[in-house]
Amino acid sequence: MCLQIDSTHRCAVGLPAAERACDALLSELRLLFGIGTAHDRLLRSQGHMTIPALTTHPRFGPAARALLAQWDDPPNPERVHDTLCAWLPASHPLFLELLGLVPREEIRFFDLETLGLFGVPVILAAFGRFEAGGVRVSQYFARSIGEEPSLLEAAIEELSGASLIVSYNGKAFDWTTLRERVAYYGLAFDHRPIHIDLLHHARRAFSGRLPDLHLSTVERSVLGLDRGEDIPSDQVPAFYERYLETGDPRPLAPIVAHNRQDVASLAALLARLLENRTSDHAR
Amino acid sequence: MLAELLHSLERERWYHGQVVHSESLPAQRATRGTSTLSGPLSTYLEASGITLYRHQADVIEGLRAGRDVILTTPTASGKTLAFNLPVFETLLSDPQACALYLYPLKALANDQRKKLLDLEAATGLDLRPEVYDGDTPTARRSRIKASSRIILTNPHALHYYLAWHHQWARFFRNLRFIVIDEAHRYRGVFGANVALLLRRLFRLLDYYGAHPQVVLSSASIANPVRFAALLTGRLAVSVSDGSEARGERHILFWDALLDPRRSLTTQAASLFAALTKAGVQTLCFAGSRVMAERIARTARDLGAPSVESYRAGYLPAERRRLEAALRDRRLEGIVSTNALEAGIDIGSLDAVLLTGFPGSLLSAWQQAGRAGRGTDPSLVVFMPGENPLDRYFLRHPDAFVGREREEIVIQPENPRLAAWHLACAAAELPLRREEVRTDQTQLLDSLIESGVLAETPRGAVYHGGKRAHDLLSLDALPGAAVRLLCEGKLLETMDVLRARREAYPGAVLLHQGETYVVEALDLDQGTATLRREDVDYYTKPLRTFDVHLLEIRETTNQGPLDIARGRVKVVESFIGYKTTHADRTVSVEALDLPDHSYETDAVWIAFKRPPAGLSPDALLGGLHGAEHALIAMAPLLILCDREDLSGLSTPLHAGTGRPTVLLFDEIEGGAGLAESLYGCLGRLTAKARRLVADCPCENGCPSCLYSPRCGSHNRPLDKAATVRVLDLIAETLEEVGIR
Repeated sequence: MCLQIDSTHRCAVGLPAAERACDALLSELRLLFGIGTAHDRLLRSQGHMTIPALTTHPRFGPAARALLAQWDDPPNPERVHDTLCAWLPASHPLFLELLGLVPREEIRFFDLETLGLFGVPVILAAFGRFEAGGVRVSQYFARSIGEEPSLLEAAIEELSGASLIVSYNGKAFDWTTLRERVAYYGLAFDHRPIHIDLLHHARRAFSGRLPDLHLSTVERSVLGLDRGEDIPSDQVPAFYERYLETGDPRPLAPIVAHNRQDVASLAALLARLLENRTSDHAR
Repeated sequence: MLAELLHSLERERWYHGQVVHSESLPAQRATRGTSTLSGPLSTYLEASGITLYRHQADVIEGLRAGRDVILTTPTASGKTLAFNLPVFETLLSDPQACALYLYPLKALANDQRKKLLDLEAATGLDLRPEVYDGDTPTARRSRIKASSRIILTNPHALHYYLAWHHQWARFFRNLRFIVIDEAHRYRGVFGANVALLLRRLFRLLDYYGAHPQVVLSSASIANPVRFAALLTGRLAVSVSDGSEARGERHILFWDALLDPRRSLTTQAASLFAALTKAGVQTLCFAGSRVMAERIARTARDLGAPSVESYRAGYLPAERRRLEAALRDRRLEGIVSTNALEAGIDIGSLDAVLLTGFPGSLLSAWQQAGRAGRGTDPSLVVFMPGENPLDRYFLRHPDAFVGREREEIVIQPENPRLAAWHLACAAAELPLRREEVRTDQTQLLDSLIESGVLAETPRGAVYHGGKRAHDLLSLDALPGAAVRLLCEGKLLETMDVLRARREAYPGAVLLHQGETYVVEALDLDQGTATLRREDVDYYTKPLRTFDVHLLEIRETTNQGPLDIARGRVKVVESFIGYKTTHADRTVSVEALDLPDHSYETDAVWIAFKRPPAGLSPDALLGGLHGAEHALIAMAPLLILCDREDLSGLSTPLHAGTGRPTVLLFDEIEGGAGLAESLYGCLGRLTAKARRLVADCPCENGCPSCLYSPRCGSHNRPLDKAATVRVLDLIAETLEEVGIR
């Protein structure tokens, strides 16, 4: 069995209220087939501000009614997600509204540490969930390569209770890696939660202002967080291999701390992106 | 046709009786097969007026019986249809079934896809044959993996896809056929790598519960069943007798040395011009692009109006233009490097000129097979160059015309390759100890010990820092590699041994028919810097070898000789290199490269006592001559690059303590060549003796004993003593029963 390490982090994340989220989503006319920027402007100038307001429109009425029927009431988050994916870039702030459509306890923050970029073991997985006043982080650590399958099983268990996951560059790396390693051991896993990758949102919000978009850079410059003696991610394999060789657990502490901080920062970054979004709305 | 041609030659100024021999292979009537195919396939055959040949029916029946099949019938015998029909038949009856087509080159996969699309359209099936390789746009990839039932790819790409096997689950689970076309290209290190790749593929297919049949298609070889077994690790039935209709084929042997004032290239151009002017559509094969262009240019100067040259790397549109021009005879002649040897669809022509032996009978007959339109008579003119093997054919035309072919050998056991494939396998699925061959558990242990793999309850798991699949290139041995750069662009990658042999400073290197000159070789950095330059000379490295015996694997210790094969350590020392023009040495340059040592396989012959009546000098010249002659003739028996085999001869070898001739694979870890030679040493020795004894020269010449690669400038060589030594070897082999 892999090692489980739990910790709690104080953090206030103002998740969108369900009603506000629905309003925001239903105000995006471009989610209807046939409506681009030009039509959007025209319809708004004619006073059609929401999708429900278009249901009687001679041209877009059928599409509006079909979408509302498809989404259901209250809107089904997976179906809303499918619609967003079809019409909007993954960095669009509307994706963040999905956080208001799923139960709070079904949201997971998620980050992996591996021994390289591809085709190598996962040694540490962290999952964060909301609890009163903050985020509780559960980390699963493989004390040997042989413990990787039990780590993956723990990850599958965590994810089975999730309908939405939040990561940083997880679409390209963490999620792909997890699926690949699960297949490597032939474990059963076909759950597909909604995935919000904050890298896309950070790029949209901060690129140009920052030299790069590494999570540590975003933390420092945007969140004002200082990691102090943190090890860079690319040093993780070397630290772990040293532990495997010598049996000396000291190199492990910084790995575990690094991974825990990644997940805690995810929550803080999400909070900031959600605030930005409200201030955008205000404008 | 032949008499007419010879008659018209007699009138030519440049003809001095160079046609020293001619053979006519009789026409053959087609033998029909009796397979009946289901619904749309039989409708298709009927509509296209095709009745199956017997060998095509044999392939269909073999596959229907659940066997693997290797098909080695001649060029233009309808091989593609022979395996496409049964594949389609299965895919027709099982709507989930899939087939994987493996091609050594991307261009060949694209050509085959067109044929599959035609057959798909003609039969009304929906199989979506698609090429999936490095050129496939990302946007199409998931759809191909999700829905195509025929996927064509190449081994280099497949190597990477195995790491992503879960994305291929649908395709792998339903895989019923693996088609390995142009299988003869999988030889040497590449062949061994592909063999190991296929082992990994079968392991994954087993995991997905699929047990596909394998169809291999290859040029004619001596050992189809064994080759299939080496490559796939499975037993295949062989279909090798072509039953297609063939016209009479005339083969002329042209001795260019009979006109010492004109080079082989000039003579080839004259003949090529004469043939095309007479309306004989001709394909001429040349050793390099420069030579091809020179022949085409000279032929035009001689008044041949519609001839062109062809090289590798043409864009599809250009290729189609040439193919079309040849088909509707706007083009009467084309000169090509071996790029046109196979796969490219130019149809058949009236005549083929071979300028120089292309290195193997397999290639020679692939090329010669381009002559012959349906049942019309065809002409092949073979113009050997000036080296022992080429000249041998002039004196022994039967060796060329006969049905004898080379064996292909590959050695998947090469530990340097096997170790990396084990690592890749452990990165694909945890590798259980019982999956590893018993002779490779040691390799597994050393991989675990060195921290590349971790032993876990589920098996060995790869955890090296880099991705396992990046560490292996199928073209070369793993580990240190030398990158050949021209103006900053990567031409190809070579292992160190080959780079030392082919990419030393000053070397002329042939890449896709183009000549390059090597400016610098930096073995520490692993780079060679080249410049593009058209040159008409070649270079050969001059080296000496020191060989230490490490292990004897098999030995025959009877009569006056010890004959053995086993493991050796070779130390290679560089002396310099030699520049040759038209097979003649122009200059010798000194070269300073550090010594290099490696382990490989060897076969050796040690004389328990010196042959009676030979002086010490004669013995030396005899052993040396025997070494050269044996190496020169080896390509007749096993398919190898001449350069992959080297030798050593000495009146006293430290390992055997006796006068010794030793041949070894010049490939780190060994490639199975020496091992195979041990098994056919009798035949090899007989051929070597014929080469030497039948040469009319006084005491050794470039046509028999000389080797262009000899590190001691072909000294000393003693022809009479060589024959004595070879006789002694032959007698002993006969006594102990090695053929």
